[in-house]
Amino acid sequence: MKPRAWSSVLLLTPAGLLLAAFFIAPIGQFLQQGFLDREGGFTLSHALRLREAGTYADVMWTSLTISFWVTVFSILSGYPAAYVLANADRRGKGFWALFILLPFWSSFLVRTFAWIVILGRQGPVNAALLAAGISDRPQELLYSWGAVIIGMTNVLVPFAILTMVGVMERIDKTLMTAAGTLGARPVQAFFRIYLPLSMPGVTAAALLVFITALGFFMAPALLGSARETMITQLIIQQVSDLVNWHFAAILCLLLLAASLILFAVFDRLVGVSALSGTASLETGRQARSGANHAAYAISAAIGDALAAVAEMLGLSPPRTAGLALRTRIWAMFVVLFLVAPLLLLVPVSFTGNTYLSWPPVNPGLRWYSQVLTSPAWLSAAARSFIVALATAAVTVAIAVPAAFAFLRLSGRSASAAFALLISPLLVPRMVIAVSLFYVFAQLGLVGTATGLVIGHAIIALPYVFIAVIAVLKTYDRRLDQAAASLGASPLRTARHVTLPVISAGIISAALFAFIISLDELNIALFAAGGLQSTLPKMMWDEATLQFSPLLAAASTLVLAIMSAVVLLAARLRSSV
Amino acid sequence: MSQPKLDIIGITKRYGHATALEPTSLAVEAGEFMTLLGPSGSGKTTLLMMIAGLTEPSGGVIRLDGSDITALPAYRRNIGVVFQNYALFPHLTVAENVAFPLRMRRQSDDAIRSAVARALDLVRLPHLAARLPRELSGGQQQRVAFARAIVFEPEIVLMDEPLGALDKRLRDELKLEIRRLHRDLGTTIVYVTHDQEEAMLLSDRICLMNNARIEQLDLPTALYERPKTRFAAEFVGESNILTGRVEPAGIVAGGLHLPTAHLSLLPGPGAEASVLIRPERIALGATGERGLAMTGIVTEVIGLGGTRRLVVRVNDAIELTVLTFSGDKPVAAGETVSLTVAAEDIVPLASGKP
Amino acid sequence: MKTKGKLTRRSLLVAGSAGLSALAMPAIIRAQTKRKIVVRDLGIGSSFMDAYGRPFTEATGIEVQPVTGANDPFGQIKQMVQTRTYTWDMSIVSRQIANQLAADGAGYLEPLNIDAAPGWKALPDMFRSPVYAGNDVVATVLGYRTDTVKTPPKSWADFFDTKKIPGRRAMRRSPVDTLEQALLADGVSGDKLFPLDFDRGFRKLDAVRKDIGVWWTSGAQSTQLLQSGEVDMCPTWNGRAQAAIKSGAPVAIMWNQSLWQSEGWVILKGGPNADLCREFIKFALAPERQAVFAAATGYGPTIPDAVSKMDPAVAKTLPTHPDNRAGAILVDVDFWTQTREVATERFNRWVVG
Repeated sequence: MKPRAWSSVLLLTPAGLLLAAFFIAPIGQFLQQGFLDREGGFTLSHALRLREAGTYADVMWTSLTISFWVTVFSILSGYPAAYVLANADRRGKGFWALFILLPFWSSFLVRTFAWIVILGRQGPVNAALLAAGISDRPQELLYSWGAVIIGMTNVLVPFAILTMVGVMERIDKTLMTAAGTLGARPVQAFFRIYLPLSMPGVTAAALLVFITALGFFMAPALLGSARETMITQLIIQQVSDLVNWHFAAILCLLLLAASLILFAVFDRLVGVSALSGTASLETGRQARSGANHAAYAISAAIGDALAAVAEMLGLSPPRTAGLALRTRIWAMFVVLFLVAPLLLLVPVSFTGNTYLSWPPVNPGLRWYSQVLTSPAWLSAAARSFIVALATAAVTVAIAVPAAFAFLRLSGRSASAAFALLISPLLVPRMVIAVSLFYVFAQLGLVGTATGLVIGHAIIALPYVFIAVIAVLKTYDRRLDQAAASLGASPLRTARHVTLPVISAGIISAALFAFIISLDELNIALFAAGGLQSTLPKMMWDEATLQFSPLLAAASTLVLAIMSAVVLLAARLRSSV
Repeated sequence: MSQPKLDIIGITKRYGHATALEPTSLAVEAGEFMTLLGPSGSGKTTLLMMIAGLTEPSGGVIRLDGSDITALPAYRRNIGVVFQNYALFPHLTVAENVAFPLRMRRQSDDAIRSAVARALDLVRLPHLAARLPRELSGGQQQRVAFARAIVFEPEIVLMDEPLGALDKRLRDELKLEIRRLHRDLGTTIVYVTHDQEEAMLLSDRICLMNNARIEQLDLPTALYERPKTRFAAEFVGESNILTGRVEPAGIVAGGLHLPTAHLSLLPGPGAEASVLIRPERIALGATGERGLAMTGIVTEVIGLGGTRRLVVRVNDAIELTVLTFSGDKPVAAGETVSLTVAAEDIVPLASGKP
Repeated sequence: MKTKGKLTRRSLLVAGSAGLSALAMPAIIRAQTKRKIVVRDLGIGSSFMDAYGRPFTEATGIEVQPVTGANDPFGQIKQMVQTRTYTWDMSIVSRQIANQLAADGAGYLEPLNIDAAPGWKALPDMFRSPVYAGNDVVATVLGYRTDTVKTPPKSWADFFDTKKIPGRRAMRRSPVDTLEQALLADGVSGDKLFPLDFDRGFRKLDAVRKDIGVWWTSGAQSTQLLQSGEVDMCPTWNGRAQAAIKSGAPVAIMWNQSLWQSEGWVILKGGPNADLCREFIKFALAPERQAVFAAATGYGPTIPDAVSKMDPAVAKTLPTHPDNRAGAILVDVDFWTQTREVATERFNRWVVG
């Protein structure tokens, strides 16, 4: 057993080193600034500023309430869609998955930006309201609480859906039939059997959505009024406008603390492993004991309450055999809601107007030609692709050995390894970004490709790690045994059997990293403009500083490329 | 006496405090078809995996043709394994799967091509060489797995419940196929199953396992007709087991005197002992043979197609299962019948652990 | 399907390794020491490149890369100089930001030292400092939609009077300009405006807080708000309102009580291309070049001679035109240099409250 333990340590080393050097150390070093004065002595003066006039507490409270409602709406709208996706037949699954994955893979920023047009005074929603005679003058939909909630929910629903689908797909469908034969009406069967069984997925989705939402700044900045200011916006302001590292560190600490508290509560109730969508993970087992019963009790109680409401309203829940029409229609609405911003940007990108407007007029290709002839856009695109490729390569090279090692470990060491590797998932991206910026500035890595790759790799690592574990778990170890019995040494087994068989899964994990990197704005945000820009940074600058239809054209191009990549990946997966 | 092909001496496997296999010794002769039979958890697969080198033994020695292979890694043992789920490489075609062990042995392309063709001919699948495993039926996959396990002419072929995942008809068909291949190739085979019919049909010898040790190692017929323990009697075939007190010529159970021809297997008079009577060895009507004759009331008649199972109550104390052919004179529940058992067919069993 | 999958996988690998080797490329490019400067400009269409960038490259062979940055990029420039990551070589900033950058610590701007250049000599004193060369005059004005605003506003008091002139309003998310407007609306006269009475200003802002639908953060956003009719009235820089008018939107400008300040060129301290930037600034300080820029942006030239090189019709739209400058008030740059940080903190707290 000894040499095995050693090799596990060896396999985990690259991941450990990366995280220690560019995640744990920078965050520690940066957050420390919150308690240091100009001379490097200890001070609480920055922390005490949090009490000032209640502003920061107010903004934190706003961030929490917005995140809460976004979570509620994401789960409510995502659940039926996840149900349909999980229970569809093979062909149906492909259809639904495409429409849910496409928005998932496409830029946060682009989807948020589109709502400026959709909800605008002259936008399609107001046009429809006027045409239908529902209102006699344009409503002020944009720059409001509602706009922020809509924009953020739109971005986060796919997260919720995919997390819930993972759990729902493992629910034995005959259980609902069984409940039926035991005398449960469909409503009861759904709420007493299916809903409680899917609860781990729901809570995991809620946690992911909540923590992600808490760190948002794009939607409140683009769609909200001053009232919807969120904590991350204040952090950005401290760093890039006021260059006050000390107070930025305090605000980061506040945001980090909020995320970690949420996570701790979740871990008590459900256990960490539900996050990865693989409930059978070793680490989950310990958390599964006492605390889990509490989670089930809570979910059963919620289920009963909802069942009562549903019966009062006479709602028909999804039937077991086939999917109820109503559920499908709801899922359709959700998909439409997800895809609408993407579809809308396409016509806008062809407008001849010099400004963002609806409907598009004098269609032409002027914005496309501007994007495609701009050295800044082209170099940003090239840079983003190179960084994304490198990020994918680095992340996979680190995550694959780590995943192999993790699956060999058990008990406490497995929990520790898992916690370490998914930890970047729990730290809001802006905290990672600011910390890295702080450290990179001293190392001269700000704005360099190397710096970007390191930052993106930290952010992508947990996702890739979880994806690789999922791949390895489906891998039949007996193939390795068979290879050994047929005369293949461990090395040749890895080369000729293990790696080729899991390659499709590894490639999609790499794709995951690629797309995360391609869409990652936080890390590049503070390295201002210039030729060192990345695609998301260019788009962000365009969205906040220019407001021209050029962004729609750039977004459409990126969307087309992303779709091609996603389709290619789907093809790869089905062909292997 | 010639040296055994495979000689297992005191091999054992422990996981922490749990024992997967007690120290076990077993010798397999060259060309023999040896079956490890037993319920799940009996240690048979552990034993097989240790022979293959895929599980490291906690103690003991394994010899192949006289040389110690205990410490040899699996890939140097030259032992073919057919896995329960076949473990065909999903990314390789049938031909590539079969060629795999030869490639690992760095044989020439020509040699590989002809060996693969021969192996696929042998399992009657030459037309599927270019397919991927997932395009094959379960039975076809099983044959490919077999071809792959024998193509490199291993010293022994191990088979771990190779028919477990198939339906009964296919299982019956492939059982005969395996028997044919064993005869044609003369390979030494160690075969794991929990299906006693499979074991009976295929094996030269059966090693019955229970509770992490060997329960009985015997010829199939001997195992059936002369099981040594209650477990062996119950696991292999149907059985009536009667427990009573030992008397000079047999035992007395439920007021019946059961004379046995195997007196030497009984403990001393007065002790408690069990005897086995196979249901098909109980004859309806008086045959006049020396042994046990009794009358009883038929309580249940179950038609099984070719045979018929009767449950007969004797002396209001004993229930016996009797197997007759459907062609025999029909019997109805409630009828009183007379039964005869030859003393030869009343087999004493060792009580508890041997 | 299978071979395709294999091919694609292989090509992905090839692409991956190509990408890795390309990672090393920026270093190679840098090593070539191409003569090139990166300039943060105002980002108004192609005005910067048309007026300065392209002519400069034609004349000198030095390439110019324009980038857009946030308004008043005080933090960004400070950071770049502090971390010595010069993503910009030089920038156009307001006089106030230039003063503040020069006054902060050891200063973040390179001394210009172009005293001998004819353009520098032609520049009125109010538009230059040792680290700053004025390029244009900006007036903060009120832009409003002529289709929805029936009574044209005549003063900031009108803008703050939501009963007299109903409609959705936007304001700049900054204490600069906003507090001046509030105080003017509250009856403070232009000549007594500075030093600003913050308490009084915020009280006035409190009164209209709920009527301000949008707090804009970039000039382009204010143009977009007026163009799309998202709001009916929006204080903004005259060039930004002019852009909306040029695009054909029904927008007009209230010139009365406009707030004047200048913008100009600065060079980031210690940057690798400071000398190239000096060449650029000398080149840009020419009446012909400023005339092109003024016509494209609507901002007034700092070199008086430039007006004579312009179409008189266009000159009428500039803040420097006598009709437009009549009611103008000059912003006290030094006041803001001293108070900006405090005011920003207070304003940020006020605006989210």
